[in-house]
Amino acid sequence: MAKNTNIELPLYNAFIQLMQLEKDQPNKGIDPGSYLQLIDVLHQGYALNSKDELLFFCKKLWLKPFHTGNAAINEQVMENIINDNLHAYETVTKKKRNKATDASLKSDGDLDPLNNRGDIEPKKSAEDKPNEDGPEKKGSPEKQIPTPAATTTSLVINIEESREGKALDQQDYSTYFNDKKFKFDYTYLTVSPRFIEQTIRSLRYKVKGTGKPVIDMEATVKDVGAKGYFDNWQFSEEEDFVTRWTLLFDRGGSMIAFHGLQDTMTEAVMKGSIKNDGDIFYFRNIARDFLFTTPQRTLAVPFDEVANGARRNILIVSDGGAARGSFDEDRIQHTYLMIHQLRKHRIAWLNPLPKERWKNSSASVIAGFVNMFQPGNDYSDDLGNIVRLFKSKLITPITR
Amino acid sequence: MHKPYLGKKEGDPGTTPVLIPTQRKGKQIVTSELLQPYFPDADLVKAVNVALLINRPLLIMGEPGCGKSLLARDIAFNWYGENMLLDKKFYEWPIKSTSKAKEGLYDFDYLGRLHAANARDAKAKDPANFVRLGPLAKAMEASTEKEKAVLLIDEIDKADIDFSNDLLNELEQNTFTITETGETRTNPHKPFIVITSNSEKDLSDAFLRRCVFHHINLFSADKLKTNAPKLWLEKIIKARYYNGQENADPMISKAINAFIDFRQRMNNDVLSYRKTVSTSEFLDWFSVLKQCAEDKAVPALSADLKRWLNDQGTTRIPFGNALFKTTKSLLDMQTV
Repeated sequence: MAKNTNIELPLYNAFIQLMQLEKDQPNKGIDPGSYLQLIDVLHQGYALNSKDELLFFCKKLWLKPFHTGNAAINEQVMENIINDNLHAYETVTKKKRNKATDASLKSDGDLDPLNNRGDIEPKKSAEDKPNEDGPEKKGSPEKQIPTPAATTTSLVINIEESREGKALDQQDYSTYFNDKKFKFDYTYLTVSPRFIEQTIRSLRYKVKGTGKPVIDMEATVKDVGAKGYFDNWQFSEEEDFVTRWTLLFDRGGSMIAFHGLQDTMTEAVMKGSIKNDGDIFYFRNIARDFLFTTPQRTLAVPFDEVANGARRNILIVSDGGAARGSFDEDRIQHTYLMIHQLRKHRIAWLNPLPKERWKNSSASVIAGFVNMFQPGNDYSDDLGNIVRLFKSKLITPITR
Repeated sequence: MHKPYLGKKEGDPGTTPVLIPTQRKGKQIVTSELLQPYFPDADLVKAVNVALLINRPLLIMGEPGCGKSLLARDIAFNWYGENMLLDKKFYEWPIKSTSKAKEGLYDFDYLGRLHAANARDAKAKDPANFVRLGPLAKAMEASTEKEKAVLLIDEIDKADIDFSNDLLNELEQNTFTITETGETRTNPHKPFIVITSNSEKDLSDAFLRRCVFHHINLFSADKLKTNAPKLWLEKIIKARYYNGQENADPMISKAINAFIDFRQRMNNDVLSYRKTVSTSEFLDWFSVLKQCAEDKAVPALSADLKRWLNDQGTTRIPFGNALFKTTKSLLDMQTV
């Protein structure tokens, strides 16, 4: 049999478009495994009776709870993309039906195998095998059917060009912004609350005596052996998990954009069954004499009390001047002093701005004497690196 | 091939309340559970069959009281009839905040073994005697190619955030190991698993990837514009309280119209009302109305109902306490 090199897989374009849309999202529900599942199901002859049936199946396969309310990818977007691709499918189906008398493929059929699977044998006729001479066959007119626009978004910035009626979306203007200090990409902060909570929870220690009393079987058996009779259970206090975080949040002006991130982190630390053995303190740009215990900075504790207290894992959340994009000598000096005073503790610095924004700002200097991380997203390991740093046995000294 | 889930047609078994025996002595039923009729919409029926087709758990979300948990029972009843419990074809695993994934698989009775050893019972020698299988393991073992057991994992979001991740392997491989005995149990045929969640906690992507997801949204603004919710509620009421018979009781339409009106008003301001009225609350409320109408309740209550039934919309709705669960809704929704 001759090799068919022009095989096109059904709904492949739709799948790729959906994958691309989901690429920058914190949660992922569409993966190659699910696409293979779709192929498998189509190969068995299911979901081929009507367009609605196939659309429903795809939505059940790919639509996840986190898509609800998502601006980039949601049920409607998914439906549109699949529908656009199903349009090609439908055209081919109709053509085939004209050519052949076999009416096993109905574009608006009354059979519903999802409801009546027990009564219907899977169709395995050649025409129903979408991956062999399927709907999106190369060279067929369907290739010209426009697919939805590319998934990358570009900003419309040139008003003059816009007035002249030029097609702005044909050019990628985002490159103009690459070196600009004011570029602020919202999608960068794709770290989800779940990921923050999980990361924080992974920094937990088993501490004896923090749990509830449980029967100590070994001690009970020993006791029975020693006495020769059983009179009472022996108890021990169970170990329980305790998280040990001290969060130092910068609430300065440039950090306003990240209050949401800070609030999510606070919630992640405070809620749940894991015992929180830490504190949250607030400061503005630089912590000097006091650390505030409320975001509104109404209550405070002396800085020395924290600096000289029991050893802690401290996570400082601040942009370190990266948002302003300039050097501030005073800020650098005081930050160095602050880190120096906290040197007995293990310190990590979470800078919510991307690493490339640290260049030519105070943050790049501060990153030289403290371990500074960017948040990344659920699939990068930046938050994981912070946990790894805290879990390492070494105290993190000032690195310069 | 496993038979599909077909939902319900008029006159099918289960369109009126059914007693499901849990224990039988000869032909006599010793104990039983009441199974209320359940009417899934077409999309939900299809979602069940999609999950069945690709052999994955079905994750059901929706507001509290919309009938998520009843679905699993109805699937089991649809497949195995009133013997679903006696034939060990339905299992339930209600999740709590302290639940651990292992509890679904098995529990080892350490105390029992110690006690047996103390009493010089020969059973103590074999640790396998002290393994107590959990609902997930039982459902795994009770499933065959053509007869899957149905397992309801109810309110998975109540558990710790790691709970769903701890179940991944068991759900995927349908296998687990009992560490105390070293035995690995496996079954090539998976049970049909229905998982419900009230979305109080996020579930991991890895877990969601393995599920077919369906959201029950019976009273969205769009749906309330149609006649479908009214007809659906009418069907449930007649099935539950009128033994499935046609009935022209004016209280039915009056109650349904009032509920739809409340729901529409609440949909417009979900944040302030916090808890919108749902199907289960409506059914509770209707049950009170019905009992009062039949003079089963105290006379004072029945008088309230009569006033409301004869009124054109100015009288306070009776027994709003059964319907509304927040102070704002109780105070705002006095009249239709």
